[in-house]
Amino acid sequence: MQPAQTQQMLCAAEWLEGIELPNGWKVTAKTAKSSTGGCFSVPYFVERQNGKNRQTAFLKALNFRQILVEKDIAKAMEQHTRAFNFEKETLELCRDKKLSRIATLIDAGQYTPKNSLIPVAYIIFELAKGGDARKQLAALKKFDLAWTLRTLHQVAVGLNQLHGGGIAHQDLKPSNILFYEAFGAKIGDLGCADTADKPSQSPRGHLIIPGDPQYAAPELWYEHRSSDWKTRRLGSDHYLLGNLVMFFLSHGSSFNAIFKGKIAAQHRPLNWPHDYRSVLPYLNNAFDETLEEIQATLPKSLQEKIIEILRWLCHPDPSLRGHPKDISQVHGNQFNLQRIISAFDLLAEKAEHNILDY
Amino acid sequence: MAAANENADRQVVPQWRTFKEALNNGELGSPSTRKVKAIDPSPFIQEKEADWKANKALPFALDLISAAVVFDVKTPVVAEAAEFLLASSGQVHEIGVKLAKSVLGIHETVSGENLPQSRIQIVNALKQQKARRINQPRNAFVWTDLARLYTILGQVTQARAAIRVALALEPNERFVVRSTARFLHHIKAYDEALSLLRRNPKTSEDPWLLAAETAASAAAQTSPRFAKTGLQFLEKRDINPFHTSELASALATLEMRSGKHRHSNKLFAQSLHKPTQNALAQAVWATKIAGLSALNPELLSRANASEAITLDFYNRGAWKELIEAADKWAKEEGFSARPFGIASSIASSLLDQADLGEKIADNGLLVNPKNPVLLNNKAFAQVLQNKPESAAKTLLGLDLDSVDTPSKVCLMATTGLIFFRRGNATEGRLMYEKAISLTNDPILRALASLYLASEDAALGNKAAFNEFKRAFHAAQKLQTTNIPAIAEHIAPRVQQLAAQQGINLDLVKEQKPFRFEGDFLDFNAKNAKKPTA
Repeated sequence: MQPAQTQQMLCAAEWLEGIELPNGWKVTAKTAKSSTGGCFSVPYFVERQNGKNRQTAFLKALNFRQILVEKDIAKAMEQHTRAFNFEKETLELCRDKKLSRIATLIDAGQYTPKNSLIPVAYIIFELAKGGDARKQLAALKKFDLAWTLRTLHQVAVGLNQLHGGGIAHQDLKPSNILFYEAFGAKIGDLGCADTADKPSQSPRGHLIIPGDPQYAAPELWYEHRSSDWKTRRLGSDHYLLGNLVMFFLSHGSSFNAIFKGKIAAQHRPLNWPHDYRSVLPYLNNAFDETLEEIQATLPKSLQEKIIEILRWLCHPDPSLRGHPKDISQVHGNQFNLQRIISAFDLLAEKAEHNILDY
Repeated sequence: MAAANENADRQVVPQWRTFKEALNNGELGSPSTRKVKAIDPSPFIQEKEADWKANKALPFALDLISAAVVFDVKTPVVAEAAEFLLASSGQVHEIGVKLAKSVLGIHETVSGENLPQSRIQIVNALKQQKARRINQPRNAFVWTDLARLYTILGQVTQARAAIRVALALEPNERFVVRSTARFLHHIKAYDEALSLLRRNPKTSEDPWLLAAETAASAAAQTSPRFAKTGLQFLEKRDINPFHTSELASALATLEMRSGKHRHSNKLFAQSLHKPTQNALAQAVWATKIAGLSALNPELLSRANASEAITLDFYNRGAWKELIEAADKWAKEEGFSARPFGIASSIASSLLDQADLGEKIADNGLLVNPKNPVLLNNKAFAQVLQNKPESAAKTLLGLDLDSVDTPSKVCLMATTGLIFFRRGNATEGRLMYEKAISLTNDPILRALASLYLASEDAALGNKAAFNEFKRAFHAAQKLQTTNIPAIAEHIAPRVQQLAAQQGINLDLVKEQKPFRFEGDFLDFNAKNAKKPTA
């Protein structure tokens, strides 16, 4: 076989437009970019006749183009395949557990193109017509407090559903919050997730920062890994949720950008050779200053509660993350999001009934 | 007489700054350098740049800007997004505007930390700090700054309670431990300060705490436990010399006290490679004590080291400039009695501005109401303004047994002066003589003898002129102190009184003070002139 032919086969996922898949889906167009992330796949829109209705969805096809540049092709292929399978299996788990706030897996399968010996594996999700959080905010144009609080409530519910299923998301960020017409927000892209039953064994589970470092919790910048999986992974998810709170309330800024500005140069990760514990007093101070700055930008009616929530979610000390009552209870679950969900629900209710001044 | 300012026991006790000041001075960094690998931000930035280019909407711009701030990256696309945000600033959240400005290098004019100056300002600052304490109850630095404000206001009990909370929250952190040690030094709980530093597991590995332990040991009149460790620390090559400046200075002082001048001078020189303000002040103080050459004033003003500048003016006999510098020092270290002590003494003794001397002492007494040095200086200034009754009232109720010997000597001499000015020369003389007999310190003896002879001379006592001559010559031998300057300041009046009685009072001045020519001198010579381009 010629090298060009091999390359074409490995990259068959890139030429699926117009193809009819065995399970009735028709690939209509390639999308500009996957809103569910992942560099190992090619994203497409697909559609299928469902009774009288035409159902549109989103397809991710496993692509091997990237591995062609890798030194160890066999290992790279194994890693790509493992990551793809991990995401598929995790999504199947979410579907089976009926996690309503997680982007739903509709279908999965494989297709062998005519001129290729290697089949293309794919997964199909429900299509987020509203796009991701950034697109949704851009479409909204004007800040809508009730919508913002309700969205945060929905995201918190989604994260809690994942945690309840023993899954830590690890890459919760604006581009992974997807919007569905009537249903609202769902969490997508489980490619960086880690599971409690096989801790650190997921494709990115062994990495200190499995997701986008822009949003990562401060302990991860300092390469601090708690030996406790819950503290390490669920604590990190709490922090990512806090980042999203700031993203939605400030129409796009990340908590970390403000926080980083408050940390003195001498205490930043590249200048700190000691353990995380020893830099924590300075980070705690920077955190307090960050909250002070954020508080000044919030409407009075929200200040107390939002600052309180940010303190629960984003505390630099992972052992102090979570609701204080959950932390202090002897047999409590420190990373139980229920109280935070209730807090957002109450705030959203108030905003929806115009009880909150804004 | 005003209290002698020849502080024979200056130690490198930590300076108690606000947390923000200590942070800005770089005192809270790590002496050694880094370990973690830098994250390569390019894939993340490129992804967000692509999203921004494809959508050109505010949330995408903000997401990109936030990433640029977090990763400390600036690309043309990032700058374009930041400009887009600023152009639409009416629709952008104020945090977004701030981030965009920071990316473009537009820094809002942030005035430096304004230290509260007047008592009202300090009280207001305390009020604000109390509010912060409620919002940030687990922030040890807030509690430490609160303790500092209480200390400035002289509320020691409240200060102690606040510092205790800070220490409970962060028992090993450098700023908290050093501030606590400074506070304990302030309230003269020397043993407690030493015990705190010795108990701390971080002391043996932190040059800042090692320096504090060395100074606290000297204050508690015991040998430092970690001197050897400290010397080993100074030999490490991979440590930023700023972080070992105070340690070198503290060990230099220790060596100086043991008479090992060559080693001491080397250590002082080492302390000046990248000096802290405290190390500079110590070096300036040491120049006079050890008879070393003066420090390059440029070095002092560059470092904005107000205590060092004050001591330097003192060494140079620049009395008017000293008053100004001491004022700045007092504002920075508001709880310390020393800047008030030195300035009030100089104003009364050498500038003939007893009213100013009284005012300065009064300001110092607001913070340190029972400080014997300040009470003495206030009383001395009052006597010089012909208010001996007020001076007597100032000293009323002061328990002489509770003060240290040098202060006691000064207080007794001032009491003698009060008696003289009230017309009771016999009692006055007796008090002066008692004061002189109390001490073997040649500085105090010379000073008291000078004032006693001067008062006696004013009463026309012929024998007093000879006494004055003897005291004057004794003072001239103390060339590493400012006693000769005081003697020369008093002399013209006594010479005039002698001339009125037909006595020729011939006073011989020493020409040159002794100077130690060693490494320290070489270091200064090298740093005195910067090479020109």
